[in-house]
Amino acid sequence: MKFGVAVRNKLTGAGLYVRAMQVSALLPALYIFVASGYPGLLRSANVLTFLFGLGCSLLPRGETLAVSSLYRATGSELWVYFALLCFALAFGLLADALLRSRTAGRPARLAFAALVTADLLLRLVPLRFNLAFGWPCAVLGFLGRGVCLALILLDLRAEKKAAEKKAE
Amino acid sequence: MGNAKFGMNALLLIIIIFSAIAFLITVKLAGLSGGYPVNEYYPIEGTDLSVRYNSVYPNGLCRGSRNAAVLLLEGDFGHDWGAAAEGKNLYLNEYTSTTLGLVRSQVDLVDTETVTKRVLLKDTVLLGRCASGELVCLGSCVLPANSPKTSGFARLYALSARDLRPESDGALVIFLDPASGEVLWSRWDEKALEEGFEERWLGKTLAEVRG
Repeated sequence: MKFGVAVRNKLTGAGLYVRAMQVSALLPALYIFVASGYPGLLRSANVLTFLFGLGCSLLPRGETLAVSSLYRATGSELWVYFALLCFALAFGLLADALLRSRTAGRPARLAFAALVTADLLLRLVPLRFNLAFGWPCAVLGFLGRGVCLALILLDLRAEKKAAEKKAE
Repeated sequence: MGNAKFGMNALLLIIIIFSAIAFLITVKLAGLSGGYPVNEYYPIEGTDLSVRYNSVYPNGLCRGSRNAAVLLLEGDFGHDWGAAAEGKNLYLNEYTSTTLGLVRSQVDLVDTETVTKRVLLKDTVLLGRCASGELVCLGSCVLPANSPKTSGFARLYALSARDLRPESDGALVIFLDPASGEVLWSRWDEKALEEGFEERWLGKTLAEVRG
């Protein structure tokens, strides 16, 4: 039982990915929140602009595209704001429930690995929306997800080794 | 780790609730005190119509002007660039703003007999007539006034659009038939939003620009 706890504590890749995604959703939200009180922010490039782009680049491409479509359809930054935060909250709650579950542990991590891999591959497609916020954000977004994928794969490997040791 | 997970989700929940209250104050209530008194009428050449900007009554397209004006269509129409009339057809820019102020433009076709409006082209600005009389529009563009190169909103807005490129000065130059409102010819111009648009496009006939 103790051994199981130790292994579970090591399996942090998927958890880190979930946290990274939640923080990524907070970055564009911060920009929207500040811009609601200070519209002058929109007329100059600044740190918050970069964080907005970085957050949008770190989020899954599918989510960013969905948020952009929502923005075009509603014309409201507030919808975008709450959609980002509500999705991050829902994803966090769901992911935590999955990762805490002992039975769903390995399938959940595999699902996360598949999710991140699909997102990484989508980022390699030479379409304009992959560079909407500039090269630095696109590269950081790719690297950030690459690190998460690597950690999830390491977790899966560690879990497999632990299972083999237990079997011995 | 369990506590940390709870903390992040709880933090998000708290942010959602409190920022909803904050937005109610900053966006909804602060909007009440904004603005200054305006009552302006801009006649549209060749018609008895005018575009009204008023801080008390609704903005829109009016018949007549000043005290005798009758509102025909509500909306934020443009008078500054190429409002153009051709028979019963009236072509106008209409501006719509997002909650926090990203302004979008679309070209409307108004039938002045039935007073009905039809959106002709979205994300497009009508700039005027070329030398041979066709209407010239800038399509697939985020308005330069939005500072699209620095505004994160402009970039997010364009991200899911197939043809919007806020990071460049390019736009689609569209020539419209003023009689029917149909697109006669279009070409992507990489320097459309730079200086010299009038000389390159408005000062020439359609046959000249077609080459």
